[in-house]
Amino acid sequence: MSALINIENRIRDQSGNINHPGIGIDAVHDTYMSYLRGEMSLDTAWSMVEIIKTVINTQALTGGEIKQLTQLAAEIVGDEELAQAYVDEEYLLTLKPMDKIDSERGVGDNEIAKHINKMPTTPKEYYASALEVGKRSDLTVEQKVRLLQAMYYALGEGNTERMCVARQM
Amino acid sequence: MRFVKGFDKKGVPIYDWPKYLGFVLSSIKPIMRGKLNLPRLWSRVGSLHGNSFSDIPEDGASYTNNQRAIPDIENPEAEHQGTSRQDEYYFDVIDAIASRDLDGLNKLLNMNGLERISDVKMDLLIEKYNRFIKDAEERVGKDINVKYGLFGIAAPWVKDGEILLTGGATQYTLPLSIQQLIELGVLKN
Repeated sequence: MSALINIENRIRDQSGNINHPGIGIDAVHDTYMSYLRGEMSLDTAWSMVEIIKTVINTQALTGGEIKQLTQLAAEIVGDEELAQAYVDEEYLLTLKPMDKIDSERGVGDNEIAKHINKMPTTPKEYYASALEVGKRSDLTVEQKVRLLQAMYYALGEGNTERMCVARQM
Repeated sequence: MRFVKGFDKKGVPIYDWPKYLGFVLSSIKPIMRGKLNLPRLWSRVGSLHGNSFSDIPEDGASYTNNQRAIPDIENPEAEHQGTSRQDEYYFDVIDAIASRDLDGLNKLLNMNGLERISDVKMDLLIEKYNRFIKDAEERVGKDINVKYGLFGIAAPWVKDGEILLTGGATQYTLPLSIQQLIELGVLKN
């Protein structure tokens, strides 16, 4: 948070206008406090990261500030590689978090995956979406399989009739 | 990469299946009239458009994917179970298809209370049958009679010296798909 405050102060100072809107730091304050208290979900954490990304996209930042914010994003999502990929505008799908999807099968991990591809709610949706995932040229084979697994687990027990999905990498 | 080696143009995963149609080579036996018939109870994981299945062990518990050497997440909702005719009917059906005898096949179907099939459908059966024979002979060798399909033990799935799936289940691999054999009255789902 201090990184965001410092950046906002610098932008305001440089503008010479005390009423400069800065980077909207007030809007993220409450969310950030929830984060510190451990009250927020991974989904909310991602909204924080999206705000950080928006700030970076203003192109008003120095290289050092971008690095600071990337570190903050990494702290929030608990994964430096993932945060860097996001900041670099690469897809969020990295092996590290996707490994968690396979090994832990947690809802939280699917929260990560849903930022890469919409999670299906029925087998029919799964099959339609799975073919699109299979055709994507921006993902590796491993990433596609991880994503299919996340989509499968998102359906939940009792909702996977006749479905076969590769078990692991 | 362990199980999936790529995706085709339609977006379907391409599995890196083991050799010999997934059998332990030394375990393969030809299914033969009067010697080795289809199992009374069968179980398949996945689409009915495939042509392999296992029998169901006497204790009634189906084999796991690990035993079947199927590289999919264990999902009981993906399993089909059914029964097979235990007489000579299966062999008669295959003989008719192998010899391109549409009239003979339709007589068999008629005698068993099933509808006749068209010559177009017969062509599809013949095409599927011939493709299996060619593929099976290439994979397990021409010394094994593949005419009615094969029985054996599922081979372990080994990658770079590591056993990823143990195998060990029984495996039946037939010239036609499960769905086709259901439509021909050989199998019931």
